Amino acid sequence: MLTNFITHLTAGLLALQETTEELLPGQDVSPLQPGPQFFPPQASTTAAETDTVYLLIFWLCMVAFVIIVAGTGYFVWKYRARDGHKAEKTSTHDNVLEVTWTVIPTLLFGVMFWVGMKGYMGLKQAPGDAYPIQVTAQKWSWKFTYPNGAESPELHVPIGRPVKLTMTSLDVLHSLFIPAFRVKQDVVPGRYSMVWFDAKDDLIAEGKTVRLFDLFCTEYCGEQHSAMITKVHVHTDEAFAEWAEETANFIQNEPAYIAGGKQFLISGCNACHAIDDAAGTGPGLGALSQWIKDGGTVPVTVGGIAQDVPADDNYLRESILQSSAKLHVGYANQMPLFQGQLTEEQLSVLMIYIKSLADENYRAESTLSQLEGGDEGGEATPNDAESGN
Amino acid sequence: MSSTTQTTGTATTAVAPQQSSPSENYLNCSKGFLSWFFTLDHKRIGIMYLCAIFVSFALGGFFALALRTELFFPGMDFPAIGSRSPEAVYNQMFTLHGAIMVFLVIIPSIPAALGNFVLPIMLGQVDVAFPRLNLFSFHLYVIGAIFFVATLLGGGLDTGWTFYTPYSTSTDTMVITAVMGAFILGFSSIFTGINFMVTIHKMRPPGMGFFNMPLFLWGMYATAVIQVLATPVLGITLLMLAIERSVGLGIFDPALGGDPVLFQHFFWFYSHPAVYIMILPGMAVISEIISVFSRKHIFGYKFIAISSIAIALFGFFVWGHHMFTSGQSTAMSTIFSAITFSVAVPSAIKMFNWMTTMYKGEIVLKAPMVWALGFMWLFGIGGLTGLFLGTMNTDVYYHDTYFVVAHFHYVMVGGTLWAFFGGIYYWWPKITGKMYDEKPAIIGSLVALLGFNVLFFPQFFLGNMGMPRRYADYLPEFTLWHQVSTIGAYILLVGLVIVAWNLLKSLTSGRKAPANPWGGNTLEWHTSSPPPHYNFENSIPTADDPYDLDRWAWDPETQSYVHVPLTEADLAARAAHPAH
Repeated sequence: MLTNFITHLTAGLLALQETTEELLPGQDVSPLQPGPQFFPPQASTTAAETDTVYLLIFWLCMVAFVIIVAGTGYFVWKYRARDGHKAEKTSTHDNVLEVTWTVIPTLLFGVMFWVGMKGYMGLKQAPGDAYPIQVTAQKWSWKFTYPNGAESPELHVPIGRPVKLTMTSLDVLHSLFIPAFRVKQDVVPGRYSMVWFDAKDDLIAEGKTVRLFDLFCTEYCGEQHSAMITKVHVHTDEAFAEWAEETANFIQNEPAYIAGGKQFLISGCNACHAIDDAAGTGPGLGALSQWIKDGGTVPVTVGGIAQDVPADDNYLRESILQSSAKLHVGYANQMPLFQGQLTEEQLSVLMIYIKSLADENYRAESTLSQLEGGDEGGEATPNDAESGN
Repeated sequence: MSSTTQTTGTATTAVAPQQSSPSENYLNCSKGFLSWFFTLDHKRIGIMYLCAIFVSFALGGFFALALRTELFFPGMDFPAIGSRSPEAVYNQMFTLHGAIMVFLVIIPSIPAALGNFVLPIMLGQVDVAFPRLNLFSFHLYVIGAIFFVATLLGGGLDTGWTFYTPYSTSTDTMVITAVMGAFILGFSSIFTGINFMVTIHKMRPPGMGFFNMPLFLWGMYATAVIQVLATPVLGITLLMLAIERSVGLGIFDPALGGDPVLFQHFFWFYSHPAVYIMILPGMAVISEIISVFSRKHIFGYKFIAISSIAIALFGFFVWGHHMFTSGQSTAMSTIFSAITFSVAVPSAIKMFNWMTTMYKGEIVLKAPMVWALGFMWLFGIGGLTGLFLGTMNTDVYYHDTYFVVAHFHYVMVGGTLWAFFGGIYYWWPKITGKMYDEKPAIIGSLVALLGFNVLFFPQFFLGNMGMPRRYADYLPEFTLWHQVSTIGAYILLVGLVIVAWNLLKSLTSGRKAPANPWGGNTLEWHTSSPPPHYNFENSIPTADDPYDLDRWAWDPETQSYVHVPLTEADLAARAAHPAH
């Protein structure tokens, strides 16, 4: 741990200065007006109201805090025990005082409750014409599904238009949090929860087409909870329409191994599996693809009994859909069930992609950063700094 | 207060015990491990709790330091342990930090350790109502702690101390052992609560009506009410969780037809009132210290007393404020938000009454008072930042961010732990019979105060920036405040080491403590330090107004306070104003 730490002491400081970020085409990175007191920019139509309520409570608290600290501090100094000073007999109760400091806080609390409730109601009532997006969360990835059938691991939304997310989880609780929009909502398995926002229409400068914001999972969901971070892409209207059209048809329009790579990201495989030999939460897939190519075997446990099984297409298919059936030796049974989550078409491009990893040429063309459209710099989850493990 | 006039006559004639110091006391009256581990003496049980709590605190604190060290840089610095990745190690550590600190340290700290020691003596009694039950509580605590250690050694726990379903029903870590540990500790807490309730109801001495009790006892009473009424719900909930995990009965897991949000309701139905199990005893200690070290009668006695009960009662109806983003209905969130603000009022009332007590006093800045002032400032921040979390739309932003982490550490550490240390210093001469060294005690407290603020104040900034909690790793933009926070953790460590060294040193080289070093008028100051086995050597003093500090005057010769008999003028004044 210590050596790791010392390595980081230098590497971490260097990394701080590194700000080379590969940009998306048309990405607007001009700074936005930051929110008050460390808050991120107010990027949604409701953000300003939340911040105003915050500031109201903040200043009331400051007054109260100054009364406490200045009051106690002054008394401690003025009435400090010293020669010639004695405690004075004063009244030990005073109903007028008691009522005063009961009623005034009660009234102020009433105001806080009221403004907070009004703001909350605004967060809860989505406009009827909101653009609907379906959200599926699972350990440890997000999948966003759009009305035209497009799917993406990052959230893409049109600017200046209410967007309503209808969310569910396939495994445990998650929570969707977009700080710049001041919205958060738990994502619960077995039911839908809803959150809406409207990205302010002045977020993107003239001539630019997209701006990115952070999206976090804020309900603890296991090992890679802190890597369940993705981006919100706010697009101009035309750019969004174009993106949605392209994305909906990527399996038809792209070479199978590229499409498979995109499916790999959409299904969140990269949260646990490296595409080389590196071990993560799950095994790296480079070795597996090589074994399949060479007709080798995989060390697995079946019902607790260790054995080697042939590395072939059927093993791969089964391991994607239900990994617990033949569990790779040395790994915990962490992988979600994909049975029923993937269409036959999606599964086949995914198979092609994974098998292509054995081939240097294919692999060079389909690194994850290229598949994500060149925004790897901004995309880097904190984990990537650790590649190689 | 009508009875005081009749009883003070006897008080004047009571033996002034501070002059006699019997050679035999509760510490040396019997020897050997068994004489401690199976003792029925509430004082020894209190001390065993104190030791066990310190050991748990050291373990929980070690985890906290490891976590803060890991967070100094973005990226993972923990090693992988076995098949557990660095992230998994981090997750287990924050879970055990939380579980140990909540269940083994903060909840039992003041009631079980200090309360056990002080409560019967304050009532002028030989022991609590049910001494065997009291010992059983302690043994349950030990068994619960063993379950936690088994969890730690046997494969860990990674659910967070909140055990949220369905993660807790699906993880492969030792959930059942940990849940059984918490279940057993819950019973330890319930039994202590029952014991204190009965003792306070049935064993008050002549002259002590409910409204003549020291405020410490009001705080203990309010705490006991919550312990007895809320903790069983936690027990039932954890039992259901264990059943769901072991035999697959669908209660909380949607895959089995259960409802995960139901678990949150059950869990917070206990765990929010549990926040008041943590803070009410702290407030109780502070009410004693502020009065004694300001040399003033407490101001607004009845309001402080009733506000404890109000907090205990309102505290039962606010649990839903933990769930504004959980998917519970808008109407429910609104109602819970409104009630939440109502529970803030009694805390404000206490704060103002303490400040008014200090007004025109003679403020003695000794270690207990320094901790008490620290409590007022830190709990002030903790309480005020709670307002942002009770307000609905700001809570949506802050929920599960570092703002919440900072807030509850200000309440639980800055509040409860500060009061706990204040109480330890306040009663240390009584418990051990030794005086600690004043200067390092104050320095330790101030260094801890500085470290604590450097540690947790930046976490409010992180919360504003949107940093989620329970993250093993973070984005580079959060680095600066994480680093400041980690530095604060080490400063706090230095402060606590000074405190520990100061207290331990007093055991070997401390001056012998007088019966009443601070001039308090509650009954524990009417007996020798340390008290004899049966608490009072000769006659048991009759209860008087616990805050009538004029009954004690400083005697430079013995370096202690000595009892001043009531004069005829005093008696006449009292007769004229029966209620103060």
